[in-house]
Amino acid sequence: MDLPEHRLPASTLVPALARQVQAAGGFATVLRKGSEWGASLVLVHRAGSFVGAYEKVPTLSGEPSWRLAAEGEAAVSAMVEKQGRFDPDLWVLELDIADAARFVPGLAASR
Amino acid sequence: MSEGGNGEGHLRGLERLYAQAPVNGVFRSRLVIPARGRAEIRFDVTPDMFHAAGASHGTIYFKMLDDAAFYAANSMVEDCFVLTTQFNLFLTRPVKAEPLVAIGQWVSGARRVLIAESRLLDSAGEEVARGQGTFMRSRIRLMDLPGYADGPA
Repeated sequence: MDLPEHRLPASTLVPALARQVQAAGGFATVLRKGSEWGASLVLVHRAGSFVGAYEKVPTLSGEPSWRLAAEGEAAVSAMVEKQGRFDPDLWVLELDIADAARFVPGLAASR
Repeated sequence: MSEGGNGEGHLRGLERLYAQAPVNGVFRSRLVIPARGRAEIRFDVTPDMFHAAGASHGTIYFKMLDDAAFYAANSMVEDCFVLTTQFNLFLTRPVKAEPLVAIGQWVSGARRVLIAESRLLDSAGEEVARGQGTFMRSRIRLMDLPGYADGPA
């Protein structure tokens, strides 16, 4: 009858994701720290010369889905700036690691 | 969590707001907010809400799931009305003329963008549909809306 309430706040999930990527030898840094229970997350993903900003899209299954919202340095910076102004709860995590989908399910598939 | 908050008063205000919304004269139903982040809507499906093949039209699913998630989200925002910006629906089973309950639960978000989900249960407690919505704080002040600031009806 009850809805699942065993969720973790963004303030736990986002730094944990950064640590996982770092522990695996990748680069990860929290570019923007949002609210404890922030609903919005943008991933700035680097792979070679590619840089893209992915928005987390909520899904019914709970499995996150990612939408490429901006590509290229200037567009990514502008997108992050704009979204941060729009939602003060926003978290932004930058990462650079091979096969990022190991840590962020669905991320690579959306490219 | 924001100015003008008075806890219980906010939850009772939202319940009155729901009761006074014109749309709920069409969909006769009752909202209870038992705690912050949660909302329950009870209503009876009647044959005048059926589609041509004798079961509840999809409109009912959206109305109840959206409102349950909406009020669960707005219970976390004490100064302004929120607005639905996106809603996903998953319908499991047809609904006949029976009492239903929609249960909404806040998931995340605080200051601007909020996410909440909801489940629609039949009289046996079986899930017939579920939904998830994204809600955004608007500039509409709750205090300015009819019903919110009133005393007990």
